[in-house]
Amino acid sequence: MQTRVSVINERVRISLSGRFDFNAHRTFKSAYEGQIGSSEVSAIEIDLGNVDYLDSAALGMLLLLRDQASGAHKTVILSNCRGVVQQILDIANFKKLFTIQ
Amino acid sequence: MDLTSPPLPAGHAVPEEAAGAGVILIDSDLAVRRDLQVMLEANGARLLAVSCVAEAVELADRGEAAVVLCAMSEGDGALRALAERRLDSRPACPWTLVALVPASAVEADIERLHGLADDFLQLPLSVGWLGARLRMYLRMGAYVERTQAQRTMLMRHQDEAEEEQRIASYLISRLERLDPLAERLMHAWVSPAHHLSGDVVAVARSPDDRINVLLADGTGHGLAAAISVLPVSEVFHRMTDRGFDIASIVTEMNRKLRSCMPADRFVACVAASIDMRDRVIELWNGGCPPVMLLGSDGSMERIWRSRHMALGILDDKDFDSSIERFSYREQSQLMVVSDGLSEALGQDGKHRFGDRELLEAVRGEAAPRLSRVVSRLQAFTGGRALEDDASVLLVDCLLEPLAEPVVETPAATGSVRTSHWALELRLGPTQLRKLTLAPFASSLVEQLGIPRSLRSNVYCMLSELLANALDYGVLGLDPAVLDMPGGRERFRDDRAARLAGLSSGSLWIKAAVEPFGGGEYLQVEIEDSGTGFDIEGLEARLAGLGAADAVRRGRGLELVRSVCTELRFDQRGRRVVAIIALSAGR
Repeated sequence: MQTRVSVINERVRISLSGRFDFNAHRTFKSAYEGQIGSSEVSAIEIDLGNVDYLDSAALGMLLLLRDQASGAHKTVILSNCRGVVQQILDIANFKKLFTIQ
Repeated sequence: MDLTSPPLPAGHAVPEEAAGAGVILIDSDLAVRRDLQVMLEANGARLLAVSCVAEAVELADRGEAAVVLCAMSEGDGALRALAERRLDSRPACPWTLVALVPASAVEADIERLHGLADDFLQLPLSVGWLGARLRMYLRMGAYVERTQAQRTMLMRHQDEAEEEQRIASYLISRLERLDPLAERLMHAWVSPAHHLSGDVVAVARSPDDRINVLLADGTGHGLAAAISVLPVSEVFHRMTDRGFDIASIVTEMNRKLRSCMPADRFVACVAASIDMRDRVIELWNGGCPPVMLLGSDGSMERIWRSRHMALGILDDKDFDSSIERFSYREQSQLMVVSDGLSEALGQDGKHRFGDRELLEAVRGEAAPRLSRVVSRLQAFTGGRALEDDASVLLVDCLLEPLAEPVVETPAATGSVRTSHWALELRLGPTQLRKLTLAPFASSLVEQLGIPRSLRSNVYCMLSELLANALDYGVLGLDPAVLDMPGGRERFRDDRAARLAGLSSGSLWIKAAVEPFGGGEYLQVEIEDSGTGFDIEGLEARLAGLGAADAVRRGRGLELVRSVCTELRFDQRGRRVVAIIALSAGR
């Protein structure tokens, strides 16, 4: 999985592409870790538009991110969810915990 | 041997990389030895003296020499001996074996020695050339050493992982509990992606003969996933044994996982209860693919999509334990699958198994349904290994509960046990405030030593009569509330509020086994401190609620009458006497 980080005002967008699974753990963590402590960031957007598939380990990583972000008073937004990614998030009922755009 | 060394350049700096490296030379020519010693020292290395091939190998194996140079002046005997001994040895550090070949050596000579030495140096040597090769040998040696250390570490990890898996498999297998009757209704296939499965499927029978069903799918796969589903499985069996309903069971599972698992670990779960007396299914789906109820021809009668988050994510206050209820009319099969099955990748590497493939596979008669699903999945994936644990659980939903096998015991054949007994207890407000009826009734049945074949009847009678005495007697709740819109919720809230504020009142319970007419009978008397209630009106009201609503009150008074030899209410419903035959009289 590849990540690309861009900043728009106070929102950090982390765009993911490829397969988001357990093997992406390190890559994903290093993409958001620096943003959690930044006082200039109020929201972290995870752009899933180019993700082919995500497994339960990836859902766990999103929960961990949410946990850490809420501790730092930041919101997490999941964006551009479609196809199989949307289905998996629906089954997991992640809309109850995350803002999904 | 022609070994001439050019004079050392003035101010020659000793390279640090080879500093202190030990080198052994196998050559009887003293002049050669002397010249080589000068060149080695110029490169920071030191020449070690050895008397024979065996000593050379021993020193090198101990890590004292990194390189062994072997001259070919007296043939290849020494080189062959070194190569053979090295094959048999287990060096602490890898060392390099180098053949020193004369200037006159031709390609055929080198070819002949192939496989014996790691490298060949053609004489004459220079300080710079020898130094460069020496450093290369040391770098290669360090690289091989690192690789070997990593390999050793990997092997150790593999051994540890296999041992952990072996122990975990053993523990998990010991925790699995089988109920032969419930097992007859279950058809399951579980395919672990690794040695251990993070998917668990189970069925268990509650004291009132409901069949509880579980499919739990821990995050990821392997040992971590298998460990995370263990508490779920334990709670499922323990609370089913004690008669808790599905909402209480999933609430406890969530609480337990939430308290002991890290934030990124959760368990997707389907928990269901099949009541074959009333033909009602209650189901909770948190994070699993849709659950389907299949008719006898495989057609879909009902679908339960995931309405909840998986277990272990939400705090108690946010957790939603609400279940979905469905009354079935014909013999059916409940099908629960994990996402490892619905998301299995096809041969084309693009499409996933999904609901459509699954529905096509289940079409047709029930008997070979499971094997049809598995065959279709294997054809779809082309037999390649699945990325995730996958499971399919089919449970028969019959129109009547399966009959308990009759065990011929002295009691069942009509003989009378000489010892009879009685148990009496009074529960005051403190005990009643803490009372949870289902486990209380099931533990009473357990304590009374009722034969397994009669436990369901005795449990139904006890739980129903205790609930009536508490709700309408001690708490004085109005059963008419149940008929109103939203009445069930209001009744539940009133009940919780009155129970929490209960400061007076009591329940008196007496149970006795008595011989009578050659048989043996259980007599239960329950008396409450309430003002009494309209028992006939209550019976009529509960009968009118229909099967699904009557579930709220266990089987209902109608069922209690059907399992009792005698049932009578006294004192305007304040006291009830129920008698059940444990063994037939003459």
